[in-house]
Amino acid sequence: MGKSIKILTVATAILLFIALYLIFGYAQVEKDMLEVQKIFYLHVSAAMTVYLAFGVNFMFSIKYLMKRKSNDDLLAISAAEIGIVFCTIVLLSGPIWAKYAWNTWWNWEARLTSTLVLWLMYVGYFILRSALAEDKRKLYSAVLGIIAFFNVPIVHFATKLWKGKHHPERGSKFDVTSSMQHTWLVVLVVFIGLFSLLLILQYQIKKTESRYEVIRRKHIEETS
Amino acid sequence: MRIVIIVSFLIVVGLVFLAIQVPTLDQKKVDAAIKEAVSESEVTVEDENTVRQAVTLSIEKLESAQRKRLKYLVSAYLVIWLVFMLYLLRLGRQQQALDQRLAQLEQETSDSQTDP
Repeated sequence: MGKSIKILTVATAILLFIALYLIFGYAQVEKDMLEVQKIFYLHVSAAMTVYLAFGVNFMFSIKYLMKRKSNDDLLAISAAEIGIVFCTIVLLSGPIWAKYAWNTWWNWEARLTSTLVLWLMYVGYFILRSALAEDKRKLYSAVLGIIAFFNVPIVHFATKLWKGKHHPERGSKFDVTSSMQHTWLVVLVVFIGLFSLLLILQYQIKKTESRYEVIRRKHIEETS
Repeated sequence: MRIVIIVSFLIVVGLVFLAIQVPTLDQKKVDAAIKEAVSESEVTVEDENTVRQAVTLSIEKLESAQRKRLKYLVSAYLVIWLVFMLYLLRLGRQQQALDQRLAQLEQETSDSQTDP
């Protein structure tokens, strides 16, 4: 493990403890949702990390189409995989909030539906990868990665575009005090740290796998 | 990887434990507070028992609502922790499988090199 990864791991772990303290010991309890509002810190931070992850996928998909370097493809799929993990967190923690706030686990409101579509698109990205032959896999998945990213702004502006009556917009449904904002920022930094760590880990595994395949093929050619 | 899972599991269990500790008021303290309030009150209280029942019921209702809210909060945090842990386990298994395949390939190449 490189020195910078060690530093990042330690910093993220320390910040995680600070974030937990801030959530439960510092941030003001919201007056309407009370304790349930504390889901917001993880839910919204996970949503922001989803944007980041799919943004990284988008960036490296474009880079792959321009330069056709395998490493860009590996970074793109690593980011997409972690993006799905964070998107799953958003889709699972959201209904828990919804059940308390709106007395329903799910409704087909714009933000919820577009987030589900986003998740399905990136799951489709992996299904496509596994279904295609190796020569087409990288190219087609890069194209799909670029197309799928256009759903991210739709998710973000869904509540404004379709005037969702349930999903809270910034500053509309509950008062976000400064202690809540500070806490949310720290949690967001923790999630970005976690994303970076997972991206590095996943990329290293994928890179080793790809190297392994090259060596294995060479070995088969030499022996046959 | 195991250490991360164990430590984070302990943190989550600790959080759950803290969250379910709804501060229940001791009945003796409630009775003492009611007596004090009644003695300080300018209005004459005819039936202290009725007041006691109303106060106890209100406290029960508030605590039950808080318990319900904490259940939602804990469930959300548990789900998030579970997703992370499952993903970390998957990464660990991927790494393990890769190590095995590499060791196997190493063995095969060294065998083919020693073969005449």
